[in-house]
Amino acid sequence: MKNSVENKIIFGFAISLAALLGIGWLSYRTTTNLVATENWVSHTRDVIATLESGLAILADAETSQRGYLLTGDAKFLEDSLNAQAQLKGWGENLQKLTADNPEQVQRLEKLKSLISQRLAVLNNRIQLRQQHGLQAAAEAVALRDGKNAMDQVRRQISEMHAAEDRLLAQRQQEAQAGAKTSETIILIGSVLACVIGLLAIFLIHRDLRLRKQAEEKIEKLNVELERRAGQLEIANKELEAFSYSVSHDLRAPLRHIDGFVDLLNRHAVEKLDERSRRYLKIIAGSAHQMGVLIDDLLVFSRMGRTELRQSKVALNSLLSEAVDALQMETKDRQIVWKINSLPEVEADAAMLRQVWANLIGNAVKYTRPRAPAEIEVSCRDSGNGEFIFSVRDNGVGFDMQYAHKLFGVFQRLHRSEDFEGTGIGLANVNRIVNRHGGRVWAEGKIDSGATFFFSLPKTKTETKE
Amino acid sequence: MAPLKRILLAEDNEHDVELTLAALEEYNLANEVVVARDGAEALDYLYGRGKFAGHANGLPVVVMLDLKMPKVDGLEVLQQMKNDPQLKHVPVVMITSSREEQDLIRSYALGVNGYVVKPVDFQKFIESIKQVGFFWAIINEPPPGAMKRNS
Repeated sequence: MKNSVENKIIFGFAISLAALLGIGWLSYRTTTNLVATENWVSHTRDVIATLESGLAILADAETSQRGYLLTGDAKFLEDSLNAQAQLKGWGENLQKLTADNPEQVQRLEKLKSLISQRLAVLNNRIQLRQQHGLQAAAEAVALRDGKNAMDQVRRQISEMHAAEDRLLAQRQQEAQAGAKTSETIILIGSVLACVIGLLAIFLIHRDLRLRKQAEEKIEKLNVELERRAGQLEIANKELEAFSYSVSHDLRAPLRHIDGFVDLLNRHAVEKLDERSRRYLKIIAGSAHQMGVLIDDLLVFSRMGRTELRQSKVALNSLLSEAVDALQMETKDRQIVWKINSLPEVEADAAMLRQVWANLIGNAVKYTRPRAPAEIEVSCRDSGNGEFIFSVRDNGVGFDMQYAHKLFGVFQRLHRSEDFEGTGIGLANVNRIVNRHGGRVWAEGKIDSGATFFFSLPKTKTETKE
Repeated sequence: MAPLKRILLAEDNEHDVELTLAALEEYNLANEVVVARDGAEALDYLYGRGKFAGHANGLPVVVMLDLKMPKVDGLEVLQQMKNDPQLKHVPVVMITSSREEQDLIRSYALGVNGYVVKPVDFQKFIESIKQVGFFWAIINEPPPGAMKRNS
């Protein structure tokens, strides 16, 4: 959810930003184009002005020549020659200005030659005036070749002028078209950026609303969960009160049965016949048996309720304590123990002692018909963060068909005449191992022994070699 | 003659009373037992009021308290006794069916002097009661002020 909102924000704003950047770049380019066009316009105007000034200088050269022809005054001659020299500089200047345009360069070449022709005519008249006098010069002027040359120069200049005008018009048109396109693109881009931005805002807003709704839902679920936890706690308290009642009230009548049977035995044993004495014995035995059942049930209940007191526990020493506690049962038996190295784990020592006591006790019990009995305790690393412990025996085994019943409360696979017990031991083992985060299971075959496994998580545990 | 010492037994169940007395009989202590059938009666005896008013009973050498009793339960009796400067030195032993950790913790927190779980097995029960009676009424030296009858 969070990711998708962030992605939308980033995506929406990235697109808006890209559109804005595009618009900015277009604006910049359009402006640059307009400035360039402006430069071209002024350049064209320069070219035109220069062209026109050339005509004026030429006219000046011609006027001064005419003055000289008429008066023979050297001053006019000097002016004419000056104007001619000026024309040379003007030509160079114009060449520089039109260097970028090959067509104009060509035209300029032609103009230059036309001007040269015109000047050649002009200087020819000057020469005639100098050498043959006014009459000869006047006759030459009457030939009108100077006028013709001058007209050609004018035509050429106006042709160049027109070419520059066309160029100018074309450039202005291009710039305007570019500006128009940019304008359209900028307009569309801005609208697009706005739309995308608004869309992004809308999507973000919607996501935030959905998130808020989800949070409210979680809040509600939490409240519900807390309520259920509260109910569970109440149920647990009731269960505790119940087992307290069982502990106190159920035992009292049993004690009374046992007590009064005992008193009866003392007071009236000689008055009773054999059969009555046997009945009394059965009554006492049953009361005793029920007492054991109640005690076992209470232990089982306590195993589920008592808080785990975790500490570092050396399983080998717990196991030897469990084996030692069985001395009464094992002293007259022939048992081959094979106990392998066990690790240290973080666990409740009292509870794990109970696990060993039950598993070892069972192994001893169900190997009773064997001489020698073999009992092996091992541990291996499962490779996925667990230790797997096993207790293997060569006893009477069990039918795998009933394996699922082994760990149930008061579930037994043997008659109590054959093997005594209440059926609570493995249920306790199951409960304790579960509370430590592990699992229990068993493998067996009738008359071929049984192996009981349990796992404990390795977290907070260390292997001790 | 050795001074005779009085035992207060607070027990609501008549069968338990009878069995307890049967056990104490073996040390001839049964005659010295005063029976209260609930916590309120036990306190009446200790304070010489109610049906024990006017009797100059004095303090018992030990109080055997059942935990679960009508009206006032064993823990309440214990609490009142240990909060009373006059009674707080009187030894109190819980005689109960409960082996619940909570009961043990609370009893010791209130200052109980002993805690005995009644075994279901009568032989063991008799043995426990005898041991408690023998220790507190015969071996133990009671605090000054405990009434010695016929002394």
